[in-house]
Amino acid sequence: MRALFDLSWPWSTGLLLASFAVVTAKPRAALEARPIEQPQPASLRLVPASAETRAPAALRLPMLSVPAGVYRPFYRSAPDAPPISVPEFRLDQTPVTQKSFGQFLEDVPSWRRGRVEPLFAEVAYLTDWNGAAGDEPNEPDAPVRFVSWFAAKAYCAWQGKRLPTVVEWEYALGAGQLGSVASEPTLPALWEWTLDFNSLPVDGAGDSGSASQLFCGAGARARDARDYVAFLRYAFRSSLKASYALRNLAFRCAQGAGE
Amino acid sequence: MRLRRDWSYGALLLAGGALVLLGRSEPLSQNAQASPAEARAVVRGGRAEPSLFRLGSSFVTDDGKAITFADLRGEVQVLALIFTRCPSLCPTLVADLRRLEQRLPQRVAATTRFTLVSIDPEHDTPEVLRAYRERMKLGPRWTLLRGDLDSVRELAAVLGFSFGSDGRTPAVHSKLVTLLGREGQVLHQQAGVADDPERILALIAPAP
Repeated sequence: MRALFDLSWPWSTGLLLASFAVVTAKPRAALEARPIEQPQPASLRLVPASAETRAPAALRLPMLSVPAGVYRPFYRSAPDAPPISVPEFRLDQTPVTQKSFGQFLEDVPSWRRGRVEPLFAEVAYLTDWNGAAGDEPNEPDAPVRFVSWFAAKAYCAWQGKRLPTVVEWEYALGAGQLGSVASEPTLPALWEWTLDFNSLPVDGAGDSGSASQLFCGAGARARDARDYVAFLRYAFRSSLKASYALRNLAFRCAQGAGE
Repeated sequence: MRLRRDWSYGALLLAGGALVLLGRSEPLSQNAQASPAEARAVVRGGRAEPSLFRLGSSFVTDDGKAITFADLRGEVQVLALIFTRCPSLCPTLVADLRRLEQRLPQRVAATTRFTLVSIDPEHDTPEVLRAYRERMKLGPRWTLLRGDLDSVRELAAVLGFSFGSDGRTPAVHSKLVTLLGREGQVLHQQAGVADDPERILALIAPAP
């Protein structure tokens, strides 16, 4: 958080944010960090581990097919910017459940709560799980939360899949191709990781058009409440860091045709 | 225009930051007070300090040698993400880093490495990077690296580097320079080195 301040935040934004955060912070009694096992001696190749271990077919989560089409972001880099074409792909029907994530941890122990490299998951990782080692789901059928981007990515690789891109996610769930989670113009209870969460919808150096379109325009001139919620999703993603493990952040996996 | 963009960018981060904070499980004060280096250095529940050397991804140097970040252990590194087709932002950044190199006191110059990682691996082959080294007149203390897209994406994610809307080129605010310690820990990050070279200089070469 502070790194962002150092890089680009006007100090006044920081103050505003701090005051807003005080107002919005939720009670957290149930989620106190618990002691963690001592770390195991680390091997140097941790991330690719999941690429070498694949989930048996019976443990793969069911997917839906998303037809090819075009995605028109609510922000536009120019008035005549072409819509983004999205090839056909498949997307998990639901966010990944704790039960399924637990099966992943059994298969690839380096992602267990007590074993994970701090680089890949902050201390809140799986903080709501039970058991001395923190690797027993507390609610097996609920979406797994408190997972970092790295862990989500590794899980998807284990499933033989990958995380969806922002465009795929927004096209399928935001723009309502699948007509589910995000098509309602209300704030979701759970957000979801995307592969390229750290791509800002801002063009490269020197262009300010899309930036002001998005950041100034979209919030104020949104066509309807759905646009406003989409704006908030882009805002949320831009503030994430890959090691974050948050109570309101889940994920699901995707698979392109021929992947 | 610039003022307006900065303001609106701030508005986006403000909204996003607040939404992220809703999901945090730890007290705000814990991270909000510490500098990035300090925040990372805090021993968390007995866990080791995060090190970039834990990234398993492998890279190829501009002379065709395969290495991982762990192979660069033992030296302080100034790390930046660039691509050779980048018209203005990257050449300026690299030139600023060269000036920084020239200002290093002799006692640290031989143990400080400058590492540039391409974010455009499709185009930036080792040969292209070698030509870039010559064009930019980069000395022997410079390492130019190419990795596959996934390795680059992971590195960028670890560093907090943002791409533009195409997911490839740097975003407006990503003139990110990272100082890595001898064991790969992130000591310091700043946006560019032109405006404030003294901070990073003082960290590389503390007054004797």
